[in-house]
Amino acid sequence: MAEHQRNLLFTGRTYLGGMQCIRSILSGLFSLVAATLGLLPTPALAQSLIYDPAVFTLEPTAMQIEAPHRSAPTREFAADSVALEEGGMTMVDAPARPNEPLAAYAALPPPPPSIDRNMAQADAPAVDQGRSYGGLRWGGKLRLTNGVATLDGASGGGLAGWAVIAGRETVEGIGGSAHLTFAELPDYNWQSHGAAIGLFNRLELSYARQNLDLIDVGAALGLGRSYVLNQDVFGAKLRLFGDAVYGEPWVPQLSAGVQYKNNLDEAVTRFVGAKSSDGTDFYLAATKILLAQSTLVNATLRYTKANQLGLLGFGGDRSDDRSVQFEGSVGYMLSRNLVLGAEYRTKPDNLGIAEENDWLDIYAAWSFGDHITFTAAYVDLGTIAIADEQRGALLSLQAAF
Amino acid sequence: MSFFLSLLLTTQAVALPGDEAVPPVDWARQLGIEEEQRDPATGEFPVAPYRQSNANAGATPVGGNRLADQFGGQAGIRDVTDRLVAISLEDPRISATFKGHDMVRLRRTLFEQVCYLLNAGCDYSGRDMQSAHRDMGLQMDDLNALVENLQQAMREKRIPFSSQNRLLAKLAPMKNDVVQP
Repeated sequence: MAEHQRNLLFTGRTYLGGMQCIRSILSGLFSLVAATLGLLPTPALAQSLIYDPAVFTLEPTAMQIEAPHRSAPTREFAADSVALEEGGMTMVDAPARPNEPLAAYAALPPPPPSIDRNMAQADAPAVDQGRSYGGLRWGGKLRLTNGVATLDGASGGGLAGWAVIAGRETVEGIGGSAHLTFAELPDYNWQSHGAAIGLFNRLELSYARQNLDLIDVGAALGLGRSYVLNQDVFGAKLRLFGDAVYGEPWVPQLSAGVQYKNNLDEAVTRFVGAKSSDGTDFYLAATKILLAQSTLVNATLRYTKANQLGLLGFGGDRSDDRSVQFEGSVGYMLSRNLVLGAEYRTKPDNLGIAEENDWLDIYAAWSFGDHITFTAAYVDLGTIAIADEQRGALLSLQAAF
Repeated sequence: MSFFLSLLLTTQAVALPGDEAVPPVDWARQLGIEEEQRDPATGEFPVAPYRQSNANAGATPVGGNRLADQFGGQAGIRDVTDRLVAISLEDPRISATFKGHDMVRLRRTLFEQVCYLLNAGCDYSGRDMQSAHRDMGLQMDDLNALVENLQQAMREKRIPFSSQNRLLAKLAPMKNDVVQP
């Protein structure tokens, strides 16, 4: 026998041993008896069972007359005693006097009405205190309608930004989310994480840190094996009008957003020919869930000059101007917890030495409970820098409140 | 400890004579308030008159009978709407919003509305959504809670998710009439 088992046994024996055990059982039994007496229908009956067998004469006692609302004999009670007498089954010793005590109640107001099961009798306070604080209400958004974090940190579908606002809040509250994303590609490893706050389902403020591990490409470029490119993305998104779920199906939720991206590897961006190591994207996103078709559609226009989201800087030898790019998503809702879909994202191609392709993905987003969303996607990111056919898996975990 | 608890329970059981000897005041009678009576036939309380019309249902019915069949016809729809009311009355998020409302009438009008919208052969006799929800102070998350309860009621009835959404699609445009601006 292991030592901890011996200890457990010893502890158990000590606790249950001796007088302590007997005392606790006795007091438990006593409480049980006392509680049973206490729960008997009328206090008077309980009292009589202990002290006064006369209660079985079915005659109302003086105390019962004085306290009609608690233990008064009802008309039915009186009728029962009469019926018993008529049937020759009188169980009472004293003669029943049905009318005499009842007359005493005729002048009293009627007893309070019983609870009407067809009227709502909610006892809850007007606002459930559990989800209300300082005039704000926590949560309340329908599942998955906060989207999942994109690589840029804003709420969306993974690669494409959507018009939805982060967090589970509605217009009455504040919400937020945090995410962790990995992508495994043939020649790169992507890792990003970040957080977003949603204010009144109106304004979203987001931050994301992107880390791209160059693995062997780093060595080929003379940066060293597994050199990691880093970038900070600060975003803001404002819902202009509409609701992704409610309202007419032809009125989407429309949001405008801005993202400031600051690449932390200026030497690399200069090396590949980018004009700048930081830049700002502007975008306009429209999202709608077409309930009749169980389908989500999204279209986003982005005005940007970022090369590979900015990880290879901004602008280049081919062009140093922003251009309008398109991000589109569709999703089919299999249940309220599962969406399957696909996305397409066009990108600028500013760098002569590093070709850039459009991106696409096929994704599945699961919600585990109200707060956790898991996204898995097959992504095709085309050529990144000198490595082409970058196809792989993207996994993302998001927690929201 | 439990000994004292038992003692407490025992003394509670023995009430003294004269306790609660004064009957409560019937304030409704004192103030001359007439108690509303339920209609003996329908079991509903009377409501102020309004113009009845199917337009009050807030949307046009779906085409075809397929959706109504998936809900199990009128009987199935009644199961769903009754269950929705039952779940919502138990839901601490929104149960208070039903307080003091006539649940007999709500069950009937809700059934009629869904039955009408699903083209299952009913007319809607209730009020329009704006009047029915006026001054209730409903907010967005109250509506979302109701939608979740409706989804649960439909899920329990094993209605396919896409069909659930076709009903929600009929109800979703009514949001601005239900939620306070």
